[in-house]
Amino acid sequence: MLALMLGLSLLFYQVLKGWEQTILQSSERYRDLASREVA
Amino acid sequence: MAVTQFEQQVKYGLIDTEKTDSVEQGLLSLLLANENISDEDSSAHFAGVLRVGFLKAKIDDAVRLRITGQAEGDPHLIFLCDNQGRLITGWGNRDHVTVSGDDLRIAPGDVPPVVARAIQDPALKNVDANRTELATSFRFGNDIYLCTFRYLPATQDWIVGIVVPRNFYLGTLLQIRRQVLWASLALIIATILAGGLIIRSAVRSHSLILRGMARMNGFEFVPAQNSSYLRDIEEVLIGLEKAKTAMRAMSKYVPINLVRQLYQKGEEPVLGGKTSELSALFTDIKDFTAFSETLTPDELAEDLGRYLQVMAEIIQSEKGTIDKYIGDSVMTFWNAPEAVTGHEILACRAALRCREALQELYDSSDWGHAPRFETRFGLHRCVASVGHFGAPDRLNYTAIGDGINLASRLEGLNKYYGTHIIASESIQTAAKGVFEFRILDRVAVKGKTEGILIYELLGERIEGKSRPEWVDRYEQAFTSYQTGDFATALELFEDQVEDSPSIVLASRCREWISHPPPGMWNGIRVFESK
Repeated sequence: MLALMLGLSLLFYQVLKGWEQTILQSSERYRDLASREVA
Repeated sequence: MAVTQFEQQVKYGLIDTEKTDSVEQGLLSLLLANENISDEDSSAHFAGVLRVGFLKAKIDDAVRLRITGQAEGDPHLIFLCDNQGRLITGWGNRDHVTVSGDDLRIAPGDVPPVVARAIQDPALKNVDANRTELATSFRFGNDIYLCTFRYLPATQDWIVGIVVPRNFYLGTLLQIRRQVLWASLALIIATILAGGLIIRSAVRSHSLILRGMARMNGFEFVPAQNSSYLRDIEEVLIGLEKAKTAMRAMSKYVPINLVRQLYQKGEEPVLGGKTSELSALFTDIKDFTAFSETLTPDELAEDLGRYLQVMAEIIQSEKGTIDKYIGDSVMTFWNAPEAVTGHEILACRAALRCREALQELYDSSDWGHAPRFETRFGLHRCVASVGHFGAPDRLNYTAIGDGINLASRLEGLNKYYGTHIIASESIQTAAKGVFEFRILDRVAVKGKTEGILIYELLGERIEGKSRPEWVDRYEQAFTSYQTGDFATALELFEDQVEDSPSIVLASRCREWISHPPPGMWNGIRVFESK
């Protein structure tokens, strides 16, 4: 059961990390567009 | 304000030059620096100055772009700088322009600290015409900031910078992550605690099962109040208790030693037996039929139950195997299913103890006014077949053989001689060192022609104590009787008027004196009935 909990925690971590990467990449594109606009 | 307007307002004294902002101060200083240059020459220097002023205002407007579209609260900070980390755009009226070499730049003192940190970022130096975009992040204070640099072509290596706190994008996600983390942590702790409790309960229950099994292996079937929160284990414990109940019930019907032996060998009873030397004991209650007619069935069952309980406890404590109850009779044997050393002695002791314990029972208040049973015992050592007999699907562990029948006949002879415990010669031979016997007679029981000597068991032999005189006299008389000297025997027997066997044999002597036995006298009394 402990192993299951650790496994689920790892899975959650991976999902959240993926979300974070996706958001950061989106924000990067967002800022890139803004910098083009400024340029 | 347009620079031409500014220039005209300065010229006509409409602007207080002491109160201008930093940009206007810069323009003013440039205008004053070039006031000696003729108007006709304005296309050269003033064009440049005017262009600088125009770009500064325009660029400042450009970097006020609202990325999020919100009028307020947009955390994106946009600025222009060069790859030397010098700001080109300013931050309001308090900015002041400084000359940095050939360039005009914004003094960094009034800019937001995070922008000042961003333009100091080492990554900025990597942004140029070859690498026009670069995204980086840095920690400032307690926060992490994301920063994007973009190289502006067709400029003096200007770079657009956008800096924003990472939490602006990830704040909600990080909050969710923290919540998930804490929830997971709480769940793990709860799981560990619950798991620990479950494991503890399982281990305890497992231990209960093992202890229960160990007790059952040792043939201890005492009820136990065990329970478990785990359903499966609870069912196992209930099953164990049921098995114990079944074993307790079974032990009341079959010899417990037999069940133990079969259990320990892991065998099932099968039809068949083996020949073994046994000591057999039969008991019976004198005139039980007459007693039973005076009692109600419940009273009879109760009295008989107490009587047999006393008998059974003693027999089992003397390692006897109770074969069966036949109404008021008990059939017992020793040396099977487990071998018992000195089984003849144990059988004699059991008979004596039963007689004594029954007297105590009758004298006790428990027995009350119930009739006192008089018990007769028959003892014989023999070789018999002992094992599982009966139909293959309904077996009975018992002993069968002539010797067993003889033990039963000996019990019946008590009725004739007026005695309580009659033993065969084989028993007397084996136990005479421990118990006191007296010879009773030489008899041939029903169905037999060969005579055997029978003895009365009198009690435990006491070291140093001589035999009673009446016993010696009886045996002297019996010796005379056996030799056919009935007159001498009669004389001796008649001296013991309180001894039932003496009375019986005296009567028989008289009979032989008046009607001498035909043929050769062998001294055997033949019984034609049981």
